[in-house]
Amino acid sequence: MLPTFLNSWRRSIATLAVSGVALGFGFSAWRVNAWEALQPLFAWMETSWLGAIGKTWGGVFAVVEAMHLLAMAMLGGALLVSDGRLLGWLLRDVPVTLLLCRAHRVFVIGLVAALATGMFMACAVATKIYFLPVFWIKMLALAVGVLFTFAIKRPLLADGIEDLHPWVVRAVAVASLTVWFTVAASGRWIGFSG
Amino acid sequence: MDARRKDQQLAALLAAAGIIGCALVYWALQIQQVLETLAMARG
Repeated sequence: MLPTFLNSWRRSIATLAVSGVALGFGFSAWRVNAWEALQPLFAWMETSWLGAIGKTWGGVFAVVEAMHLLAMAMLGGALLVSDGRLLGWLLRDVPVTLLLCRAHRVFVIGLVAALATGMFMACAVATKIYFLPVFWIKMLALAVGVLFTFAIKRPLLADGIEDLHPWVVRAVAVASLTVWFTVAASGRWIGFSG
Repeated sequence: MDARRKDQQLAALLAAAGIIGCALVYWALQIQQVLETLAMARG
């Protein structure tokens, strides 16, 4: 009886479990311990050759930053199109499965490019961002966004939305826009901080 | 609707509710902080 129940609701149970563990981690001493343990890694990042290039040549940093913004624009554009369609705001004449599939491809390219350029930029200012709470908010939002997109949203929408409750589809679209807005806005905030 | 889809829907609803709730609290606190800073700057 119990194994059948657990198996039938395994995705929901996993979602609750991951949320519980994340909240428990966030409000415990483990978070501070993990933060302190990461300090040598950030010090090493700044002395690595990526960090040295980023700090020495401002022009290289500026070009990579521009590419980072372009990647974010690509990612954001793909999200606006797919989530806007899910909310019924735009492109209503385009089949939703086709649109979601193509937008997801653009989203993945944008995400990979944003991660690659973001890592380079982080190396150049590693010891600064390590002490910025907004950087950790961004990393948390990024992790939540990636998990939500690939473990929840994508599997849910891959089989179409016709059999789904409309409010579930809307909630998924709003949550997706919210979490990626938080990632982008926190990233901009890092630029204003310190 | 089969059990797999029901599970996917519930998981999506839980995750979406969690994300929207946490984001609302976070941005409300940030806006409050900005307003307090502006009020202090005005004296």
